[in-house]
Amino acid sequence: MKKYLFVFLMLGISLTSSAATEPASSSSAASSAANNAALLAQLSARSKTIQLVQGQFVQQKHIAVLPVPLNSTGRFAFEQGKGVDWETLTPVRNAVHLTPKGISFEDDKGQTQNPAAQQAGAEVVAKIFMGVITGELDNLNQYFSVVASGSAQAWTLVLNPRSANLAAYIQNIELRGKEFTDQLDIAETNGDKTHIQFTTDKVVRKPE
Amino acid sequence: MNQSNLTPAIQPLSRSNLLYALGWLLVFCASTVFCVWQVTANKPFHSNLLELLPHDERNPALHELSLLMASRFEDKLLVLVKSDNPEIALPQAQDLQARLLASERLAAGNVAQAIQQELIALYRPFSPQLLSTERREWLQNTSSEQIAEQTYRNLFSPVALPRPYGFAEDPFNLGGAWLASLAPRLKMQEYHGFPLVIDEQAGEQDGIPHSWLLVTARLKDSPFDVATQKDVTQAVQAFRQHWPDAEILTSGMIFHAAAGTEQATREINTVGLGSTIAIVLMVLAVFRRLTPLFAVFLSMTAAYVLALTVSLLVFGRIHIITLAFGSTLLGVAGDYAIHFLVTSQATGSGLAARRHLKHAMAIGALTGMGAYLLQFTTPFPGLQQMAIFCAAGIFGAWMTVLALAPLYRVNPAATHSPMLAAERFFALAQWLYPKLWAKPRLVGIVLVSITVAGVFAIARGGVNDAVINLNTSPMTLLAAERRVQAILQQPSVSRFFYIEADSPEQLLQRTQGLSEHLAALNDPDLRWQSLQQYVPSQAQQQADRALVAAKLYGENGALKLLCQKLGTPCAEPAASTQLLNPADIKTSQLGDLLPPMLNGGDGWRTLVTLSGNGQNAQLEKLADGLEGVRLVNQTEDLSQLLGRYRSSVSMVLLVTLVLLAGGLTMRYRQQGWRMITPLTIAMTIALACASLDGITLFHIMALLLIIGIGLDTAVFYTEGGFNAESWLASSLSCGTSIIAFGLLSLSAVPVLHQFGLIILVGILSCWLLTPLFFRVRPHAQPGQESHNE
Repeated sequence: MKKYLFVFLMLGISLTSSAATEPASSSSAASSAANNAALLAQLSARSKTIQLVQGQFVQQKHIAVLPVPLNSTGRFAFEQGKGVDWETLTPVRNAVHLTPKGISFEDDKGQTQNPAAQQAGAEVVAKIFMGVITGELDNLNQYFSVVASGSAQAWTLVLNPRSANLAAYIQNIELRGKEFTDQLDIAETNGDKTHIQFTTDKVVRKPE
Repeated sequence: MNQSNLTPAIQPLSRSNLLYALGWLLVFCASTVFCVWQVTANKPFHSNLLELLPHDERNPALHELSLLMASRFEDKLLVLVKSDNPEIALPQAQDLQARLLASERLAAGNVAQAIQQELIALYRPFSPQLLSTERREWLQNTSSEQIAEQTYRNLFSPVALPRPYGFAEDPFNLGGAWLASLAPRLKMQEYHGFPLVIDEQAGEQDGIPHSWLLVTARLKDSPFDVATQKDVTQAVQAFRQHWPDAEILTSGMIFHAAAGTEQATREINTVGLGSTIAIVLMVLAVFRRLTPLFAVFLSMTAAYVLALTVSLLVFGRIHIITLAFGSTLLGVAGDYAIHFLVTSQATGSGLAARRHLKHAMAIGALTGMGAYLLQFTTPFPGLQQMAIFCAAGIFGAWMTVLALAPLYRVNPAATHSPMLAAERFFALAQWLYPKLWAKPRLVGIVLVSITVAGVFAIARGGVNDAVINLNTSPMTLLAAERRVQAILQQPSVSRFFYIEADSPEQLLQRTQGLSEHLAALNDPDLRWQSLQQYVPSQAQQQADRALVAAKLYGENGALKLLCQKLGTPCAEPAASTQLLNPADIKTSQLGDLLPPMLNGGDGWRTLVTLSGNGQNAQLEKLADGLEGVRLVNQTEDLSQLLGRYRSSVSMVLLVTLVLLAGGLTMRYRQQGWRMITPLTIAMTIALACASLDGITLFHIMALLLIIGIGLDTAVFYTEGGFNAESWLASSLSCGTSIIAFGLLSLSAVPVLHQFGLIILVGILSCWLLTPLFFRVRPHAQPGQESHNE
């Protein structure tokens, strides 16, 4: 999964101090079929029952001009309340730790590296990233309008950016899954496309 | 006493008197139509303090830039909705926004919608020559291998900087880094389309900083447009009623303008209502008829309409402070009518009264106008406006009485009532003053002591030129404004750096020099915004382009290495031959958001705006060391300006008094001192009462009005004698002013309070002190008996 909105999608606000206006509906789900809302609620409720997920991913990144996609693999872990660990293993090693409090990076030498880490607003990145991985729709809903289709057993979520500033970077995000998220597709406004395939190894549910 | 009324003075109007009256009517009607047309069509009233500054004294380019900055504060409004729980705050913010945008006079702030796209498009051709400081250092200090390696890694990272331009155009994502460097340090997120601001400076609640949702709107009209003010006020009020638990903070000129309008309307209404009631009661009590009441109001209306007409013709636009001061003119305008009415009763006809008062009115009016016109000679547009306004008003009142006097018919059957009132009221003066006249030495000592004590108090009180004196906003509104400015780190519209240069390039280089010095201060609380942050100087762009070409795209550049890693041949992006110009930004929408740049005849100017609390002294020192850079502190400038206004008006006041003393001595010989002394003592007492918080410009200006009203009293006593009629007339005209300004002195608005206090105390003193210097002299009208002695 690639880049997300950054602080500077907020640049406009500091300059103009005028908000991007949005139709007042809190979610476009509300305006579509009632089962859309019901499905979202179902998925959201189910995601909250998960205590821990671990698995592997295969990422394929299509960069607009490059003839071959960039492939990478790695593993991920999510624990309720703690955050997400996202570790790329091939062809390079690096790890990202996303917690509700912030974001930290590690390269193969174990050093914090990316200058972007120091940027304020990194928690926005973390929030969206975690939202996508964990299906925490409440967080995603802040930034995207979510349209759900299918059933709780085989579902598709399409996320469209709510603000023009976010849309300057992300065209849309598509999530597919059964019990867990299986596939993630990100279409960037610059033409790059990212496809991620998940395999879940281990799941711990919250005690009833 | 009633003899004169037995021979009715009714005679046909002479041709010339008829012409006077018709001429007056024509002017009055034309002026009224003109005022109504101007007020409805052109909205000539404003409250922009900067427009009161003397133009010749200030740098015109700086003046224009300041107005530009101020206009940015004027054409939008910001409301922060407290959002410690966003789920509760979101419907509130949505509701507030809907209520605001329901007004056809407000529009959504549409610029932010597309600002990212616009920035991306603007910088697209220039990404290889725009480097943030951090990125420049990274390129300088990192080997091509390392650059290639890190860029390669970032291609797999889930949280790398977004790529606005894609790999082909900008393989090293310089554009993304550039755009990120423009981002504010402000902690802002987005919540359902609303900016969510985290206020890290303010106190925390349970360890979590407060956060706010930002609701904004753009004004289609001026913030001083009353209809817009009404829409905004009603929307916010309705919102507060609907969400009693919501906490909101407002910011924007519209709120202050609305509060100012409300306040001014309320205060002027209070004064207007107070004086109206006072005039109605007093005039009715004395005359027991409606015609005199009508006459008083007519002369006041005529005075005001003429004053407004002349001011609009001369200035086009009028500041509301002029208007507020102008309202006080009504007191003077009423004087002539009251003196005329009382004298008419005594002499039996309007025509006779006019003949009788001709000199007194001319002297009173001309000295009053003279005092104000002296004010016109000061270089301050604000004072000039008030001078013209008041002089025209006095002229209007004077002319009204002169023109309409012959039309006034004294009702013989009703004359006994005012004369009776005069006699009874005069009994009071006859009881009081002879006792005082009998002890001139004691009275003298007391007056001298009071004056000396007054002078002492004035000297101790010092002066007060604080800008807050001009404030018309309630404290809560000011506090909210300050919090919003702090939370959003809005650039200050009153304090900024002003940069001058011969060319745009030099301008950008000087701005860059300033930025570097500001950065070197290392003050985390100081933030600034400059044009050069968005458009680097040509020299900087060329240097950065060379650095990029050498490090990234050269024979041994990082791109080659990166493409080897990717296992794909790739081409260098085409380098732009163009340089980004300030003009490119100016033509885009962004031009309205960044610090403005101006090209005046002989050079280029821009501002570097500041937010946060930098130390004035430190910033001033920094600017002193840099060529073409100057720190502008408008609050301080304004305060100094108020000080200069105060000195100027004080000078005018002194000159007026000296000229008056000379003029009165020439006309009245030894009697002249009797007129000027009580006036001077009254002014001293008034000023002493006001000196507790320091003497302000507005105290001194009010003294000018005291001269007008106080001198009228003395002139009428001197010309007509101190008798029942003149005592009654003076008491009536002073009484109405005292009641009106007594109410004004209770005002919460500093200007109005200061003005009211001086006039209240000054006129009260004048009214009571002036008779001390006169002896009873009966009305010098043939057929009348002496009242006493």
